[in-house]
Amino acid sequence: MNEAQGASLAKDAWIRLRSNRMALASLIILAIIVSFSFIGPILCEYQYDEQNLDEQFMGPNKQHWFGTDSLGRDLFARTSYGGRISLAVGFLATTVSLLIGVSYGMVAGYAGGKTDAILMRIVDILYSLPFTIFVILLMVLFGRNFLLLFLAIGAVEWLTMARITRAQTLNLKRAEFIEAARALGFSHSRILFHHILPNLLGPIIVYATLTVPAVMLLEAGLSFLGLGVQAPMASWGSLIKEGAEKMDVAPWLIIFPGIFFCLSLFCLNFIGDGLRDALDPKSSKD
Amino acid sequence: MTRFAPGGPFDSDKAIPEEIKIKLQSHFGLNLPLFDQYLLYMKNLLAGDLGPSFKYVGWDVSELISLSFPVSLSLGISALLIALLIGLPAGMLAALRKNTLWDYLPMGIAMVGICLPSFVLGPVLIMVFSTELKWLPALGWYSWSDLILPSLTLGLFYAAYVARLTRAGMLETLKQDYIRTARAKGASPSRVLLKHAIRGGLLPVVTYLGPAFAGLVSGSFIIESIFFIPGLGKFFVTAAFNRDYTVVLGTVLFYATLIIILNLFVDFLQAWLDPKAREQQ
Amino acid sequence: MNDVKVHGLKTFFHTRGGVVKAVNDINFSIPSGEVVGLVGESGSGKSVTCHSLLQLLPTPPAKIEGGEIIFQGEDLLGVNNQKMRTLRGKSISMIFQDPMSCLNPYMTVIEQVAEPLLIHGMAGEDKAKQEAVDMLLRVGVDKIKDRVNAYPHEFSGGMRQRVMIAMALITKPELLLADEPTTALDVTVQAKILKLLKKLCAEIGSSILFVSHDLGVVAEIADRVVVMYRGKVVEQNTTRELFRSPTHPYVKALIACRPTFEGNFEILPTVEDFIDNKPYAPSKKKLKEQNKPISEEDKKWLKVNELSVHFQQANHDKVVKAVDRVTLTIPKGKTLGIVGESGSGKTTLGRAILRLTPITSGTVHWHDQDIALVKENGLLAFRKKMQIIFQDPYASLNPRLTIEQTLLEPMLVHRIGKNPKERIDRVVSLLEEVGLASSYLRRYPHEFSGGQRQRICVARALSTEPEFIVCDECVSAMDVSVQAQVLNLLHQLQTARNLTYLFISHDLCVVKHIADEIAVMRAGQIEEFGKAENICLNPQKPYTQELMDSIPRTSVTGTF
Repeated sequence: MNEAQGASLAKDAWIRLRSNRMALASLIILAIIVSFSFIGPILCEYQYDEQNLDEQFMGPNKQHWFGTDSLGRDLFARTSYGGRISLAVGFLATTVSLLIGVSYGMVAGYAGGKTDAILMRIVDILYSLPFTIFVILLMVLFGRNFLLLFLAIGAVEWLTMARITRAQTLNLKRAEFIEAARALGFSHSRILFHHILPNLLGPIIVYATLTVPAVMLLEAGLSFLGLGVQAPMASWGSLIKEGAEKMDVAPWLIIFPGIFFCLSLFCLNFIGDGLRDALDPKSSKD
Repeated sequence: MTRFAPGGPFDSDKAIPEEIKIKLQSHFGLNLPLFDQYLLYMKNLLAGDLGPSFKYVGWDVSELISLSFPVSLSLGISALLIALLIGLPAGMLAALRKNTLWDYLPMGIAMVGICLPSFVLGPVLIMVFSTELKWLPALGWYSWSDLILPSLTLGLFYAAYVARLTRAGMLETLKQDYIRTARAKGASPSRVLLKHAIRGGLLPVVTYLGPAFAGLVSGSFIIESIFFIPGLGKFFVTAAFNRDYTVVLGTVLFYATLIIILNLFVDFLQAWLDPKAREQQ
Repeated sequence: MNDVKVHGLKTFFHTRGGVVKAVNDINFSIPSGEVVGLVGESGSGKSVTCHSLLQLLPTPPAKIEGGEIIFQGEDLLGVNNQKMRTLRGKSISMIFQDPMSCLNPYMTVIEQVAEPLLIHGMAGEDKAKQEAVDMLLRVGVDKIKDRVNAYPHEFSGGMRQRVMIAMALITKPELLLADEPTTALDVTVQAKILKLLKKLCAEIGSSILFVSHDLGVVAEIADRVVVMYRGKVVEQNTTRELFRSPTHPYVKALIACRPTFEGNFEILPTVEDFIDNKPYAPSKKKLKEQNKPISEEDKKWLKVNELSVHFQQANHDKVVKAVDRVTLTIPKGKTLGIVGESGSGKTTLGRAILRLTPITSGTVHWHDQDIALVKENGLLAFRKKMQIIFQDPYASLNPRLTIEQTLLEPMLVHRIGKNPKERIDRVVSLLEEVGLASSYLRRYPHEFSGGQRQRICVARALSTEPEFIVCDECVSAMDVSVQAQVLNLLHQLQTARNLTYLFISHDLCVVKHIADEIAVMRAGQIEEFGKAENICLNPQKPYTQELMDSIPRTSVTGTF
């Protein structure tokens, strides 16, 4: 049964997405970047943390396709490894934010009344706080832990997800087919998971696609401040930071990770916009 | 709460002789039980005293904030101005000329603006305008020209976002039935836009101002480290790294107050724009 | 001389799916000072025609492909935008259907009413405002005297429509285009607005093009009627002649398939009966025995006693008494009709009986049990026996479930049918019962028309073998031809399954057609309750009388 729903939703989206050339191109480029990040290390004979002090600051050449950094580490290996981290943080943190946001929003929207008012008031308050401060505090307090990093980011990004889910749930709850389901004696869990959730999938997918780049940006920002992943590990953000410091000597250090990073954000945003138009033409951007 | 974190302000860097450490701790009241520390802090806070800094010896947190905040404020205001002055017209133009070059071009640039993080844009701008063209100073905070690059770097992202929001808001409003009513009255396109559509169209942008203020604060952390600006953001990050408790706590409190004030301002602005919201308040 | 003439007007929509010929080569004229009604069902092109006159359609996708619109000796399709703007709002004004969304929520009412005068340079700022106040008073918006700075949201729907009228007529236009101006309003309000429109336009000397889906309303106000069907004008005549001797089969059907006060319990003719040009013989066959004796016990089959539903209004301390101490009985196998205007509490009453809305006080006795007292987890057994059909068939089916899944789910929940095979068989027979083919099983709701969807909703309601069904405005959103089909279906099912209906509607004619007894509701209370015949033909209470008088008279008698 779920397969049929998924199929019809996916088919719907796919047909409309296909006609959006920008989104389609983005999808292909993103696929290339993702496979670069995961297959790249196999193609490359160097390890991402392999130092070679004889080969510092080498420009791109046959040996080192993207050049080397201040410790003679191969930038190709580091960029592809950093991509893995950045993308992983992006997707994992999005998943965390999705789980929290969707369940929070669904509960608030479905329960309605005072519960809803209180829950959403909390979101409103949290929303207007500069969350980077809290992430920074968390990082400072509990050390720079990779797991904590995406937990923290996920915890920040769930707010919008909760708002969107709640608004949609509220709309759906008033829909007559939900009332019909209640009249037929369906249980709350059946209504929530069988009738409301499948109808939420469209906006959720759209927003999740747009959350991934937002999360990657946040992670990169934290890494840039030195609060994200720690050397010798690398993410695109930390690579850009190193690159920015050595910009005068070795511009390729910022150019390659910068291009990969911006290109992935670009693609994800285009896919998200495309999906929004395909699935959910009415929702406005927020 | 900051106190529970592992490590203290004095165990970093150099090993400080034990007796000096104890002296320092007693000076700042760190040897008192945690609860008493808290009480002392709250008492001072009510008197408007955020306490002394652990690291910048001889400085009060309030003094430090009052020195560095104006720097951040001028950066934030100019970035916000850039965001609104570029974003609003670009978004409106795109909405009015939907699906033409005047839509695709600004929206394409806006997309780039959103995807280009400040820590990439910043170095790129430095590379182009100071290293290559030598038009503008790269780092530091000495004259007004030092303001240009950082506020551009910070503001362009928000300009892009505001442009997208404006476009979406205007398009949504232009679809409304009351716009059709206005056209049926014989109103010219410019009248429809300026008299009927603009209020509804700008509401999403006004709503976004709240999160935008918060974002500008966060953004200032990064911008101020890129451009070596002695603002509150740089100061806060440094303090966090140094576990300078009173500074971290004081700055967070200061930020919280600031954000609350700014959000109140946004609420008033919304009420001014929307008669329905006005009634609810 | 000052007649408005439309010649060979063609307006097409260029969509991705192809060209939709919304208006295809139509001719009609609006004689000076007269009211012309433009009638058609949804999708007939009547609104597009109306908007084409002012060239207000979004282009693209809409494009006026050809024809002429002669206004004051000039072809409107030939003039430039600049000139068109000087006509809009000054010589030709327009009123729209939904007064809730057509006024700018960010401007005061006076500003908006005065605006046409300012745009066309007919008055200065102060004078325009003064004229706006005068005009608002003239259309009956008295509140404006105390609330000069009132915004639209402070007014009710009827008042807002009056504001729209004031705005449209303030420039004394030669032609007023009215696009379904009363459709969103209650019937008593509608009657007042129609009267006001006619009176004001006669005073000013404006002609009106009155667009509506409701032939009855048009007959009330129009001198001439133009009937559109699928983008074409199929018939036009004076109102009297059109009703007396319609020639086109579609027009005949439109007049015939609307339930009237005259007959009841009859099978209604549908458009299909006429459109194939078959000679239609009205069946006088009664669908059920009206006076079949029923036992004393069955007479009080469902007993509602002193039922109240109160809501605490959000952000206010005020308590809204949506349903206030209502007492009713519904006999087994009969239909109780509930009539009322918006906000009368009729829908809440239906939902409260089904326990879809929390009951504040009172009892609902059914099968020796008080439904009001049943615990949440004991409701399942009642849910099986009591079902509901909603107004909007587009919103009442889950778009992500196939028809098969929609109909199977209730059986799974209520453990009907021993095995999957048996359940599928039951689904197929249910579909047949509501007149749908079993080949539709694997389809999704969006592939069906509104009428078909409502049949699916009926099938879903029947899937648990209920004894009692609440029909909540279940034909209100439909074109009359589809409405007739669904009413016929409901009748057939009642006879075949001995169902009991609670039929809720704002439309007295429809209720009279289907119900044995009628309760008139107002402000949460039962205003009058009795046999359908008595309520309709011999109302006792002044409110019921007013309700009767508000119904367009052709709808009452079926003739002009």
